[in-house]
Amino acid sequence: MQITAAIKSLFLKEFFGAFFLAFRYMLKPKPTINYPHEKNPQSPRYRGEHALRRYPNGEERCIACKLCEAICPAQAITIEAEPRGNDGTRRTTRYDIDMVKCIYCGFCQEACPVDAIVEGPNAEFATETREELYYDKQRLLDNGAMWEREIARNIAADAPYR
Amino acid sequence: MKWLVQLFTWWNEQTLATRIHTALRGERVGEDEFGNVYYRWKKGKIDPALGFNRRWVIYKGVAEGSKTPPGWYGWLHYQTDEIPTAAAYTPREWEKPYVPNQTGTPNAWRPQGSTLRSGVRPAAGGDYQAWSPDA
Repeated sequence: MQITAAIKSLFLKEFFGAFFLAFRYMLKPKPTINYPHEKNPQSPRYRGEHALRRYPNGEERCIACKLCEAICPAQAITIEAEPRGNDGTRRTTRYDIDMVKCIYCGFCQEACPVDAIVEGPNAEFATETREELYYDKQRLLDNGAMWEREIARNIAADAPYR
Repeated sequence: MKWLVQLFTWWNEQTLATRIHTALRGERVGEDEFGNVYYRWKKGKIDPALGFNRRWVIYKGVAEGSKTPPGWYGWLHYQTDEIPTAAAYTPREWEKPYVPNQTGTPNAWRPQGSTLRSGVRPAAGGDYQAWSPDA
C-alpha cells in the first residue's frame, strides 16, 4: 500500500491527471459569447424592460383597472386614474414603475386584460444613477412606441402556447 | 489613427481579434439605419459548442450593447431568422425611432421630479399623502 502510494507520488500521477484534464478542455469547442458583439439566444417570453403598448390606431391600451398594481409582489407600480376629458373613458393620469423595486416576475403582464403593460425584450437599460430607473407613464409609452416591432412579434410567437 | 484606436482599445468598434474573426469567418448579412453591420458564420456553419449558427454585429463607433434597433435585435438574439431589412414591415405612425441607452450622457432620461429636470415632483393624489421636509 505504501509502495503504490510512493510510486504514484514519484511519477506525479495526480499532477499529470489534472494536466491532461485541463488540456482536454483546452481543445474543446468554446461556448463563450463575444458580448457586446454577440448576444445569447432569447425566448419570446423574455421578461425585460417594461413598456405600455398602444392599439394599432394609436390609442393607449391601458384602461386603469389597476390589476397590475394589485398583483405586483414588490409593490413597484403606482397608478392614479380619472375619466379623460374629451371622451370620458377611464385612463391613467399617473403610471409609475419603480424599476429598482421591480423583480421582473412578469405578473403585471399576466394580469393585464388588454395586453397594455408588457415586459419587452430589452435588458440593456442599465443606468448610472438611481433616479433614471423611476419610470413614469410617458417613458413607458415611449418604450412601447420604440419596441413595438419586437413586442408584437414576441407576443405572436408565444400566442399558440397560451 | 482609427487603426491605432482599434488596436489599443476594446470599446471602439472592434478589437483586433474580432476583426480577424470577422474577416475569416464572417458573412455580411446587412446593415441597420445606424451603420452597425451584422454578420453570421459563413456557409451556415453550426457552432459545435452552441449548436447554432453564430451571429454578431460590428457597431459603428463605440461598441455598446444597446445600439441594436428593434428588428435587428430579434435577429441577433436568435428569436427570428427573418432579416429585418428584407422583411416587409411598415411601422405605425405612432411608433418612434429607436434611441440607444442614453445613460451617462446629457440626454439621459430623468423623471419629472429630478433636480436635473423640473425639480418639481408631480402632486400625489388619491390615497397617498406625501411627506414634506418642511412640515
